[in-house]
Amino acid sequence: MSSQLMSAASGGIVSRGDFGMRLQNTPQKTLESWKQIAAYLERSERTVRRWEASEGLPVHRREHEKQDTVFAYKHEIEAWNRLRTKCPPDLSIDEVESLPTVKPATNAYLAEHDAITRTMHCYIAGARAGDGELMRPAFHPSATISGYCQGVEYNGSIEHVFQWITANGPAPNISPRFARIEIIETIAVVHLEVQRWSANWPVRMPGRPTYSPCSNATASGRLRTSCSIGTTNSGRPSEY
Amino acid sequence: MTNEYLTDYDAIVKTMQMYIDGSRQGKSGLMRPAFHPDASFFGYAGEQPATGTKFLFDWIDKNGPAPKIEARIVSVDILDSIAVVRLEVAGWSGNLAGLGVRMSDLFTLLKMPDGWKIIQKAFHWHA
Repeated sequence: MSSQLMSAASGGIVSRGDFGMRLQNTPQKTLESWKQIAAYLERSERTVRRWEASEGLPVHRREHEKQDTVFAYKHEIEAWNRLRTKCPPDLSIDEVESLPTVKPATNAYLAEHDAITRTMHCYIAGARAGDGELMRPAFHPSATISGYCQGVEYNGSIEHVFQWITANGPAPNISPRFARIEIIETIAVVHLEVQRWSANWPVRMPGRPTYSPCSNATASGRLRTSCSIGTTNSGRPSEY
Repeated sequence: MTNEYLTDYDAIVKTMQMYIDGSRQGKSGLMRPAFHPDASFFGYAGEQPATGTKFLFDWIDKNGPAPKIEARIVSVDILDSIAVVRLEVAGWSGNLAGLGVRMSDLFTLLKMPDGWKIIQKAFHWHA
């Protein structure tokens, strides 16, 4: 009886593994250097290196004895570009959110820090575009939201946030700053300050900062001025 | 519309950038303007306590370029005229640092008429 159960269970796992293998074996069109990636995006090498550090441009590495080489999948670059071009460029954010990191993150701490930043940028892109679906990939399906918005308490599924974001519409001038990124091995808390929200929604909060602690541990968010979104987010960067 | 938070945040990042640039190029002159003249500096260099910004500036100059430095701002906590910044710097190299060393820094800053100035730096050297 128990061996039947076990074989049924392992059968399920094997078939999932097969699916993964097929995905991996799909031939991909790759770009094989910073030069090729830069040419593909019609930007300088310096710019695309910065985009990798600060905006999550998906670049992969092969380890060699002397020096690692980089490569990128065209379909991943395309997907990243689609997400990005939905967001109007915000130069001031571009400048301050990324310290000039010409070299790829080699240190384990930096790699985690950058992965978290990328996840948060997915949230920011969705908020700016007014498209809840854009930010969905940044959230764990079971993520929750808690907080007050104009005196009304919001609690429950993260779906509420996606709906609110879409109903709110584009907020092209939001100015997010990372007040804190605290990493403890497999968990992290991010405190994001977001100013210059705008809205089609009845909720109007021009110039009001939103205080958004995002963590995978507790659902917490509090009102800083008139409105707040607190999101619980067990970030799922693609590396995990 | 109040953008005081953004203005302060960005000014603080700018000050930190001077510190990072000086560290990367091994030129204390680049980071000196980021420090208040009376700034303090504390930490352990190996077993030895290291104190005073003179120690820091001399060390930076003697260490020379550390081109592979990568810095990340972990937190920026602003309280009106003062702020605390935590910085993680990996990939240190140079004459004194050795190779691939990581440093964690805590900075306290004061808002001055001519910008945010570092008034204190404490560091931990990850041996």
